[in-house]
Amino acid sequence: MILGFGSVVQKTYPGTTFQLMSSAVDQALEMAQLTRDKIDGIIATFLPGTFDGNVALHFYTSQLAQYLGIRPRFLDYVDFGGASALAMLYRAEKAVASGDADNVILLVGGKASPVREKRVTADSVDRAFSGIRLTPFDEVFRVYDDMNPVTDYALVATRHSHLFGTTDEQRASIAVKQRFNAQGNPRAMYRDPLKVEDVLSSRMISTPLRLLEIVYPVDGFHVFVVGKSGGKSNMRPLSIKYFGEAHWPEMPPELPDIVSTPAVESARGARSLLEKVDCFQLYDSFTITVLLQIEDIGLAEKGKGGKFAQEVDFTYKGEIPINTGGGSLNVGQPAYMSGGVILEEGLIQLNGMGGPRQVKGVDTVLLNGIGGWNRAHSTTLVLGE
Amino acid sequence: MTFNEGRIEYLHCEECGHNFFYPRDRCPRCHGNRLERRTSSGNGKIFSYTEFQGGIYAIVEMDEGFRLYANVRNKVKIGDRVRAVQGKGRPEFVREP
Repeated sequence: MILGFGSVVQKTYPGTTFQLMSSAVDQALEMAQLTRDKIDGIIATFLPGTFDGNVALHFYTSQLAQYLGIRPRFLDYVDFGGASALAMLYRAEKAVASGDADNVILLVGGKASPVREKRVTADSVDRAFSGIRLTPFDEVFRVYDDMNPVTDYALVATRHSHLFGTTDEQRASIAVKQRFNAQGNPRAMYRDPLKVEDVLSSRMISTPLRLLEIVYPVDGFHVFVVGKSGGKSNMRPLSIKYFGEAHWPEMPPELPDIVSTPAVESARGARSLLEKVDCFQLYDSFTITVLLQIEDIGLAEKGKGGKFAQEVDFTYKGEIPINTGGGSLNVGQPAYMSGGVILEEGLIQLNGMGGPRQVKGVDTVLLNGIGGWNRAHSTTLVLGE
Repeated sequence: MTFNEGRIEYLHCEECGHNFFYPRDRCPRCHGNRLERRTSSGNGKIFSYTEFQGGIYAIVEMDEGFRLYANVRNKVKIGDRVRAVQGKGRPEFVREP
């Protein structure tokens, strides 16, 4: 079960990435009522540039253990970007169940600020740092001018509108409803009320995506502690009701179309559980990302996500609450990965810790993570007691 | 694969007939390895596009059936016919009148 969690998220963290990670570990262990000497497993993820601007850390997981003063008997690494956190939780639960480890910490995050300051993102990090290859085809791919992942998701949004008539207002309503939710989250970076007109009048970044439809990259770590039940932790004894992952490694131009994500497959086995779900935490790198998952996990038919976004009240007060803490669109996206943000909010809701934004009677939560510049990775998790 | 004089080369699978652009030593559809290098007519249409500060980024669907990311020099819409011309170390596309 999940024994505890903690996070430190700031626009710019003044210390080192190791210090940032360590302080989030302390918070998570305090909630779990554990000390560092009880931790014998680590699962981590990493994106180039997000650890104090380093492109790579040689023997990464070992360095994390070195700094934390932990001698693990279980180490693992998951590199699905935004989809990593949910896969890490699934792997940790399996490691604990099999006896490979007693207490596993999941380390998700880094510092986006050194990458942000070079005016690139994790998906265009090759423009600012040398020695990074994004695909086997960079010689005929990275020769073009882009601003990925924004431009790539913009291609999806353009195509979605062309095929299904999805409007800018419909996408904007996702930003507006998530902002309403953020007003109940004291830790959200953006909490001022927002109207559809505000989103539509914000700066155009990559047509049709505007500034308020795009996450802001920040520094931050989310840490989750997984171990056996029966300890001192006061958290609800949650278990995994469903987990699915799917990977579409293709270059998006080679997919049959670009308006679906591998969530179509990772979430397929969760269809029968949708009725039971009390709130959803869907990956929100952009408004269009949320819209795609609304369709791909089965809340709306393909092509009807825009209508759903506009008509369904998915605030924490609504019938189908989605991204109840405001999502990373409002919390900020730590190290170019929102997986920690959505998992933390799912746990807050399940444990009744949501304060003003708490959805009543949350027993089952569905989370979906999307990762990779090309949306190659999707992980779907249903948590309940 | 090369990008000389605005030409776009692609691979044709002699086993299943699939045409693809991003170069591999096996056909992504049938995993066959009898591949022939061909040169595209350079004609295609816009599959999707976005305009940003650095220009226009698009996915172009070539008449031979494969698609690729590229930059486009003119404002376009989905379905517009485009033609490859030589850019700096890469082909770029212009809208057909």
